[in-house]
Amino acid sequence: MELNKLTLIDAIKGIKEKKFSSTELVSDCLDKIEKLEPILNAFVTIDKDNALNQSKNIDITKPLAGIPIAIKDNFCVKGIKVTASSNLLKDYTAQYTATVIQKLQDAGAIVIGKTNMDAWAHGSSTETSDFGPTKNPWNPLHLPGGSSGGSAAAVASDEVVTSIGSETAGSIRQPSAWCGTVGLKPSYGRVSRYGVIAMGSSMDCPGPITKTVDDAALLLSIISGHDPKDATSINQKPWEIPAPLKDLKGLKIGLPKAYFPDGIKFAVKEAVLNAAETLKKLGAEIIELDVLDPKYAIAVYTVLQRSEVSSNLARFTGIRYGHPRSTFGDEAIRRIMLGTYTLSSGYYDAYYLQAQKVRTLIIEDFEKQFKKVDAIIGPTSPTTALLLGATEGQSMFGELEDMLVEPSTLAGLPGISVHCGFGDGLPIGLQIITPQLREDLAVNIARLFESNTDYHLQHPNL
Amino acid sequence: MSSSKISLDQLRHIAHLARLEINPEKENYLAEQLSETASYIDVLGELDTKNINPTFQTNHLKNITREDVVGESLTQEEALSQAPDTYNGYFKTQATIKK
Repeated sequence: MELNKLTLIDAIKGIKEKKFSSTELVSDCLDKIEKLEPILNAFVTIDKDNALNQSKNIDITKPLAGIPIAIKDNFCVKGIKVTASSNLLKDYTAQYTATVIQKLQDAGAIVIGKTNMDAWAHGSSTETSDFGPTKNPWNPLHLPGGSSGGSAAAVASDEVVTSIGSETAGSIRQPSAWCGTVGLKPSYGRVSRYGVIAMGSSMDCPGPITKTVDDAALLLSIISGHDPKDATSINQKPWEIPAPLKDLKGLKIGLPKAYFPDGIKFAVKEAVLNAAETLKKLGAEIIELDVLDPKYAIAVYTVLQRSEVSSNLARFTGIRYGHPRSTFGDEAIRRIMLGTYTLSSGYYDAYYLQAQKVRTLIIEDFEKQFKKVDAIIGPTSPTTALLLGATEGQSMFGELEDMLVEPSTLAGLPGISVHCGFGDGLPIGLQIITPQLREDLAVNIARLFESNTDYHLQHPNL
Repeated sequence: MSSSKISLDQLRHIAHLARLEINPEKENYLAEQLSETASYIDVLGELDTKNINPTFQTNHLKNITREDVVGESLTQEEALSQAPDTYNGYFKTQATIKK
């Protein structure tokens, strides 16, 4: 029956209406996974037996009753290996469960497996995984993007109905753009970081990677909410799915000129400008914006992320768990080294402190823009999926690929990437950025865009 | 801020601080890559940040504490279960002070 092809919302409906069982759905996903994994390598761990067992005993009253879900391999799930796709943690079994996963399990979801990622989430390609790259389902010679590339590829290829990823700067949105999925990055603090292997703690955000905007909204409503175990968790109730808008009349949407940099792929530019036209037809007023040059966001992000990485990865000593520090891969070493440098005596003021001040300027720039417009749109990534091998020797690969999502990340803003076209048969992503805690608006604009286009209905031929 | 080039001496110092052992054959390459990354961050010096406060965290929550009560936590067995080496219920490490 290929139930794995269903959206999350349709899968829930099918199980509740007893059109099929959770076990049938889980089995169809496992069959597809078995068939495609030799090509895609989207999973690090497949929890087949547990998933099948759990599917036989579900509580139909729960919102995600019997739904199998793929989880990025930096979330702890008690009793299952969690590796962050790194050799250092390749034999580590989680001793507790991340809050996001607990909420999903409490809602009835079943963890079907853990997905591949750039090792430690350091990258935008999934090519730096110590367990080999994931391939793009639209063309396996190409990268899926990253760092949540496994989750995006698993959803785009219908190995699963839905997934969870995490983003520090682009790691949900950029692989979603490259794989043609929906990626929703919540406001910083909206979703608990407890039990997620830390990368850049002042930016890390768990979020959904799904087939449709409604699927993403449903997952966010379940995983969000205050968590006393995360000191940066916002003291708010779980996010509520907003009532849909009929059109975009009265809404002002900004289009920053700087989000179309030199070297942007022509098809990307064209698709995003067409998307702006679609939003205009739906009633929005499109306004060109002059924003701070994204090169400053790249610099701030590079300093802060490397600094936070060097601090977070200092705990991996190989004494309490994991293998010795000599098992860190090249990318982790580069990042730890640069972060140690920017935090070291004599350089702290010039780099780390200066970066935090420029971050304030970036936040002020967004505040200024949001006085003129309600939301900002642009390409999620300046290119479509690049070929395997593109990251080789590129110490700034991720930062240049993620230049258009780094400014909003630094400001802690929410954003969503939706499929808005193709270039050479590869998907293109439109990102929609809104003010802090205005996921409702991002979701509503994305919903209207999706329902007036058919890109989300297209599937790769695998 | 001047354009930053990272020397081999600096590289070794940073590696020591980070407790990383760098393969001597890779030192030159790594120093080049770090210098390249540093060249991207030097643009930070272009902006005037006089009287601008740093933002360390975007939702401005500060000094979040909880009641000092015992909650759920790992058992000793669970906490030790992933350690490569243990002794009498402790983590076993290499000596840090030489005799």
